[in-house]
Amino acid sequence: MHQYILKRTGYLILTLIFSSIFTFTVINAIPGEPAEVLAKHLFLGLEESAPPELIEEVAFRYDLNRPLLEQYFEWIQGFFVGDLGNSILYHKPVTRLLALYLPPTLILTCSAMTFAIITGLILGVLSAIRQNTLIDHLVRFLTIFCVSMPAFWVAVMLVLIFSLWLGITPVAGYGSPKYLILPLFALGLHSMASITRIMRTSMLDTMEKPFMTFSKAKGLPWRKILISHACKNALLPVLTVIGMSFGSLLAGSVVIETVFAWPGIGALLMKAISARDLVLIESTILVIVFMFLMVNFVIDILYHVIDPRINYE
Amino acid sequence: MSETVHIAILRGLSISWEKYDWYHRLKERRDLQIVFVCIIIVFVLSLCAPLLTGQNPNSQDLRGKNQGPSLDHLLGTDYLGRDLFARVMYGLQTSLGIAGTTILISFVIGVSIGSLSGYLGGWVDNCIARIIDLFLAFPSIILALALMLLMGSGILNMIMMLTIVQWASFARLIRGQVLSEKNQDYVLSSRAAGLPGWWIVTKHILPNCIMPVIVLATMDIGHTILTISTLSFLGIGIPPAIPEWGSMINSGLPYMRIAPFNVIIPGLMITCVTLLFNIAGEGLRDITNPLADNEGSL
Amino acid sequence: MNSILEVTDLNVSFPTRNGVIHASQQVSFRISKGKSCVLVGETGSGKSVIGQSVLRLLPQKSIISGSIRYKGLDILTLSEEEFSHLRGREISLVPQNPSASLDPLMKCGDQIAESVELRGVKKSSVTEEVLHILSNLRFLDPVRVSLSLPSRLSGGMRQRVATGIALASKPQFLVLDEPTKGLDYAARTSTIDILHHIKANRQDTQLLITHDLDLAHRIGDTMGVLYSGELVEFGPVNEIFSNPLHPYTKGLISALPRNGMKPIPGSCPGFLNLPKGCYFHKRCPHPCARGEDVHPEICDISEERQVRCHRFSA
Repeated sequence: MHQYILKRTGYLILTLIFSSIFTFTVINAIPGEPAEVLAKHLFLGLEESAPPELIEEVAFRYDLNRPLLEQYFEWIQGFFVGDLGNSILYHKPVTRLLALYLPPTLILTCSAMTFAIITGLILGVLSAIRQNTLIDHLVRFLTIFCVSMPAFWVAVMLVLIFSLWLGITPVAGYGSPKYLILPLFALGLHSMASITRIMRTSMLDTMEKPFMTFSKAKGLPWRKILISHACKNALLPVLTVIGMSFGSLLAGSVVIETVFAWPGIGALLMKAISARDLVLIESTILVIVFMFLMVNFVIDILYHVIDPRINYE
Repeated sequence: MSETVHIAILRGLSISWEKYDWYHRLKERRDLQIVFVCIIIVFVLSLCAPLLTGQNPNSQDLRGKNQGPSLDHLLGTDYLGRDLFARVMYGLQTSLGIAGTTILISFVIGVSIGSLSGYLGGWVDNCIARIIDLFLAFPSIILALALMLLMGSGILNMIMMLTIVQWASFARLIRGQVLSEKNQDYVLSSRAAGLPGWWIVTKHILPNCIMPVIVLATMDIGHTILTISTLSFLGIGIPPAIPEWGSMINSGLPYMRIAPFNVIIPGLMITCVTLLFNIAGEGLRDITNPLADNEGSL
Repeated sequence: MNSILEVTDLNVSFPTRNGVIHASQQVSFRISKGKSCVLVGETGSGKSVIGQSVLRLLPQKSIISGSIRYKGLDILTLSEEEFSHLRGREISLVPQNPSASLDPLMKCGDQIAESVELRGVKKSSVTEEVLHILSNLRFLDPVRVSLSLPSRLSGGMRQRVATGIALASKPQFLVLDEPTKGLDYAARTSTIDILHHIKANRQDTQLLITHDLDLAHRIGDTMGVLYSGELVEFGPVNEIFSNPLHPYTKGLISALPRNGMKPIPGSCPGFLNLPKGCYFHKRCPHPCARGEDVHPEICDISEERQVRCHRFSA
C-alpha cells in the first residue's frame, strides 16, 4: 500500500517534469519570439512589426539570449522561490496574478465537480435499479443529449433563457453566490451526464455478478445490499471517469470563465493567449496541468484504497 | 469475361452477412439502423452544401441584418446580413471535414505507434508508453491552445494540431489490446512458425482488436467537433471568413436578444451531429462486443 | 414421517431466444428432518436450478410451477417480504463458485459478520462470534482470515468462508450447491471433511447438490439422480450405490475412477430438443422398444425407492 503511494508519487513528479519541459519547449520554441513579443508590448503595440534591432536590444536587456536550458531551470526554480517573472500584459508578478485568479477557479471547478458527482451518482443508481422504466429512458436520453452539447453553447443558452428572457440570474460577473449558478451548471452538466452514464452501466454490470445473488441468499435487506455491496463495487470504473471529467472541467473552465467574466485562471489564460504574453502563458498552463495531475493522483490512490487488487503497472 | 468469372463476381458480391454476429444484433436495433442512415445522410449533405442553398454564405447585406426567418432566408440572417441557413450548411462542411480528416490521420498514426509499441515491448514500449502518458496528461483544450499559439491559425494547422492532441488516446487503447493479445496462443504459434512480426500484427492481431478503437474513433469524431467549435468560439484556429458553428455563435452573442436564432441554431446543429456520432459509437460497441447487452443508448 | 422439505411436481422453465428451456420437469422428493438429501447429475442436468428454486433465487423471467413445502408452508406462494424472513436465516445457501460469490472488496470477516448480525447478536459480540465460526471451520489463523480480502485466500479457503457465512445464521435447512466444484484434490478432501464434520455436529437438514459421487456417498442419506431435468432414480444412498437400478445410475457409478472410469457413450440431449420417449433411450445399454416413443413415469419400487424406467414399471 505504502509502496504503491510511493510509486505513484514518483510517477506524478516524473510526469510533472516532462510536462513542464514540453510546455516550456512549445512556448519558447520559436527563436526570438519572446524578445519580439516583449518588444511589441513595451514599445510598439501588438499590431506593429518590430524592427530586428529593437528585438536584439530587448533580448540583450532582458537576458533573453541565454541558452534555453538555463532559462528553463530558472523558470522551474521560480516555482519554488516564488518568482515567476512579470507578466508582459499586466506588468505584475506572475505569482501575484496566479494567487489572485486561482481561488475563483477553485470555487467554480470544485462546486461544479461536486454537483456533477453527487447528481451523477444518484441518477446513475436510480436509472440502474429502475432499468427500462420511464425514468431510465428519460435519464438515458437526457444524458446522451447533455454529453453532446458544447459547454459554451449550454452557457449561452442558459444566459439566454434565465438571464435575458426570465431575468432571474445575472448575466455575468463574480460576487455573491447567485453569480455561481449559471457557470456551475454550464460547466458541470457535461461531466454529470458522463458520470451518470458510466455509473448506470457499472451498476447494471455489478448487479449481475454472482456475489449479488449470494448477498440476496444471505437474506440481507435490499437496501443494505445496494449500498454496502453494489455501490462500492460499481464505483471503481466511475472513479476513472471522474478523473477524466475533471480534466475536461478544467479545460472547460477556460471557455466558461470567459463567457461569464468569471475572474479565474481559465480567463487569465485566454487573455494571456490573446496578448501572446508568453511568460504568463507558460506558468498558467503548468498550474492547470498540475491541478489535473493532482486530481488524477488522488483518484488513483482512492482506487487503490478501495480495491487493493490492482497493481500499478 | 467468361461465364465462370461472371458468376464468381456475382457470388462474391452477394456475401452472406448472416454468419456475422454483428449483423443479427444490428437487425434487432431499429434505432441504430436509423442512426447509421442519418450519418450517411449528414456526410452526403456536407458534400452537397453548395447545391442545397442558393445563397452565398459570405455575401453581406447590412440593411437586412439580424432578420428572422423569411422566404429568402430560411433561418434568417446574421449581424452582417449573411444567410444563416447557408452558413450553417457550409459550417457542416467545415466541421465534418476537419473532424473527419483529423480522426482519420490520428487513427492511422495512433494505431501504428500503439501497436508497434505493444508488440515490440521492452524499453521501446516503455518509452513510447511514457510519451503517450505525457500527451494524455494535458487536458485537450489546454494542449490545443498551447499548440495553436505555436502554429498560428488556419485550417491545415488546426488539423495538424488536433491530430497531435488526438493520436495518444488511440495509441493507448490499441497498445493495451496488443499487449494482451500478444500472449495468446495463436500469436505464439505464428512466431514459432517464423512469420515476420509485421505480418503477425497486421494480419492477425490487429483485426482482432481493432473494433474498440473504431468505436472510440466514432465517438471521438463528435468530441472533435465539440473541440473545433469551442476553439472557434474563442476565436482561435479558423479564419473568421470561413463559416464555422462556434464562431457563428460568438459573433451572434452581442445580438442575442434581438436575433436569438444566430446562437440557437448553430449550437443545435453541433449537438445533433455530435449526438449522432455518440449514439453510433455506443451502438457499434453494442453490436460488436459479444459480451455487451444490446439495449441501446436511449 | 416429519419432512422438513417436500418438493412436489416442480417445473422450472426459461424462455430464451431459441425456445423454451425446461430445466426441471415434474421433480418430486422429500427430505426428513436431520437428513441429507443429495441430488446428483451431470453438468446441465438441472440440479442447481432446484437448489435455486428452494431459495427463490431464480431470475425474473423464469416460469415455476409446482410446490415446495418447507415445514408444511408452500414457500413458492409466499410474498418476497414473507420469504425474506426465512431466507438467510432458517434456510441458508452454501454457494458454488465461492470466488465469485464473495464480495471482492469486503473483508471476509465483515461478510460473515453480516450474517451473524441478522441473527440479532449484540454488536459487541459479533467479532468474537465470527472468529468462533472461523475456527470451527478449521482455520488455523482465524484473525488473519477475518481481516483478509477474498482475493488473498486460496480456493479451498474461500469455500470454507462461504460455508461459514451460510452457517453463521444458525440455519435449520442448508442448501449446498456444488461445494467441491472446481477444487483441486487437496481442497476437495478438506472440504469433504468439513462438510462431514458439520453434518455430524449439527441437527440441520441438508439438500446437497453435486456431481461428485464420492461426496454424495460420504455425506448423503438419500439420493436423487437427475438426467435432463428429470429425476430418474431416488432412494437411500447405500442402497443405490450397492444396487443401482436405472442404467444411467449404473453408468455414473462405473464411470468413477475407482471402478474403472468407464464412460457412458453419447451425450445429454440438452434442454431444447428433448426426445419424445425416454430421454436416456439413445445411450441406454439395454434399450427397450417402448422407450422410443413412450416417456417413462417415475414409479415406486419400494417405500423408499423410486425409478423412472420402463423395465421397472409394472
